This record gives sequence, structure tokens and C-alpha cells, in this order.
Amino acid sequence: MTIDTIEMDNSGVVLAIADSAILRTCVLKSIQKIYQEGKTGVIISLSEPQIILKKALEKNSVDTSTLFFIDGVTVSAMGKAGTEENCFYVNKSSDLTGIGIAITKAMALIENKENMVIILDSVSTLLIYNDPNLIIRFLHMLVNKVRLNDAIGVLFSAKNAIDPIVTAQITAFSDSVMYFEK
Amino acid sequence: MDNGDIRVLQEKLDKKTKEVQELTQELEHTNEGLIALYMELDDANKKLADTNRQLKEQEKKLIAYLFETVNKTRNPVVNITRNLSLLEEMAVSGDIDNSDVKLIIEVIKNNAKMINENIIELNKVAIDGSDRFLDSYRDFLTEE
Repeated sequence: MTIDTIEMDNSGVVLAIADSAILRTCVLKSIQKIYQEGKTGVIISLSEPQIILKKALEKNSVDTSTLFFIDGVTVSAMGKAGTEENCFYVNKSSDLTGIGIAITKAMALIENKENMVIILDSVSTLLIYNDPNLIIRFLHMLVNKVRLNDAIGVLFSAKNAIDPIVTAQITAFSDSVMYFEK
Repeated sequence: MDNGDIRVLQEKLDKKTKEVQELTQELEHTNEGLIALYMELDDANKKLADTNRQLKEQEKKLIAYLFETVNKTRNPVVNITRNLSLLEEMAVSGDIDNSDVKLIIEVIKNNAKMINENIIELNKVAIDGSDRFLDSYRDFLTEE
């Protein structure tokens, strides 16, 4: 699949594996797609500060006020949280409990949950800071939240960045796997 | 055949019977030894199979650990590349905000720090598994 042909079903969980050189573009395009389709979203950004991601989206005519962000980068990089609205700052990407709480808070603010998309950028970054078994448990929790709300979940990861056994476990509780090549 | 011949034959028979008895006894001893040897071999075989199974489990754990460590070192490189591309994009477009640049550089530094920490951790594990390192190398490989 190419970046321009990103398609999402109306519900379910997708493991989206992208060549590392195009991972960011895939994340941006998928958020753009959410916006164009009138959906709301929770973007869990663990590789890039929310402020940078937000500016890139706004450059592409995406009204980010309809989106909620969870930022796991800014505090650990700058030593303090930002002041952006619609953004939950987590101290670090290894704080899975903090991320989980932020997801719950962000989801609570979304009224039309059937039109909700949760995007995780990315599983491969989670793996830098956490034990794979903890990540599997965390993703299980995330996937359950998605399913309970009939929402869409997109779990992005850089290609060849996850242990094949862990990939098999994530694939087992995902509805489909999408591959994006350069 | 006279009585003398019979006596000689009887003596030969007795001698042979004794020899057979001695051989039978010797054979029984040998058999006992063989059985003990078989039991020993069986024991050794079980121990070998057990050690082999343990080694395979250790090998699996080692491969999983290596893969995890490689990823923990490689994935920050992916993030660094991504953030450097972002800086390049900003420079090319001329859309540079100093606070954004500082933020991105801090993210890059954090990822570089993670690589360093993970390599030190890997070196520690390697050193713990071997007693062939000189103290000077031990310090060099594990000091932050």
C-alpha cells in the first residue's frame, strides 16, 4: 500500500507498518484522512512533540482543534509540559500508566465515539523505553478501549522494528495489518 | 573302557563343569557391570538431554534479549533520523522557529542518550557473562 491509498474501515484495529523513512508522512496522511472524513481523533505522539506535529497538520489545512493529542516527548525533552490546548502531556514515553490515563481523559472529551480514531505513533518508539511484555499488556488495554467504543485504532510502527514474536502477538489482536513502502 | 579311563573322563568332565561354572559366574558379573554401565549411560544421556534443553532455552532468551537490545538501540536512530529530516524540511522551507528547533534538538539528544544507555546496559550484560575482561576494559565499556 502506498501513503496515498491509506484506507480505514469504520471500526477495528490496524497494525500499520511503514518504512521508517515514510513513517511520519503516513502518520500525517492518516490524521489528514480522519479530518477529511469528519472523524475525531486521539493522537498518541511518542516520537515527535505535539507542537511540531500540530504545525505540520495545520500547514496541510487540518483544523487541529477537533483532535486530542497525548504528547510523550515534550516534557522529557524540555523538562516541562507545553501549554497547548487539547493536549495531555505525559512525563515520558515509558510511563504507560500515564499514557493510559491520558487516553481515558481524552476519550472522555469526545462525544461521538463511533466516529473516533486513536492513532499511536508509534509501537516502535514504545519499545525503546519498555519491556515488550508490558507493551503487549498496554496495547491490549488500548485495543479493548477501541473495541468497546466501536472506534478505529491505528497502531503505527517502523518496519523491522519489532521482534517477530511481539509482532505476531500484536497481529493476533489486530483486525488487519497494513504495510507501507517507500 | 576300563575303570581308569572312566575316572580320567570323569575328572575331565568335572574340570570342564567347573570351568563352565566359573565362566557362567564371570559372565554374570560382566552382565551386572554392563547393566550398571547402561544405567550410567542412560543417566548421562538424560543429563545431556536436560542440559541441551536448558541450553536451547537460554539460547532463545539470549536471542530475544539481543533482538530487544538491537531494537532499543536502532529505534532511537529511526527517531533521530526522523527529527533530523524534520529540521532539514524546516531549513529548506525557510519556516524556522527557534523554539521548535531547540525542542527538536532536545528530542534528538534524548534519543542519543537512550542509545548510549542501552549500549552500556548491553556491555554490562556481556561483561557479567564473561570473566575474561580486563578491569580497564570493564570500566571503559560500562562507564557512563
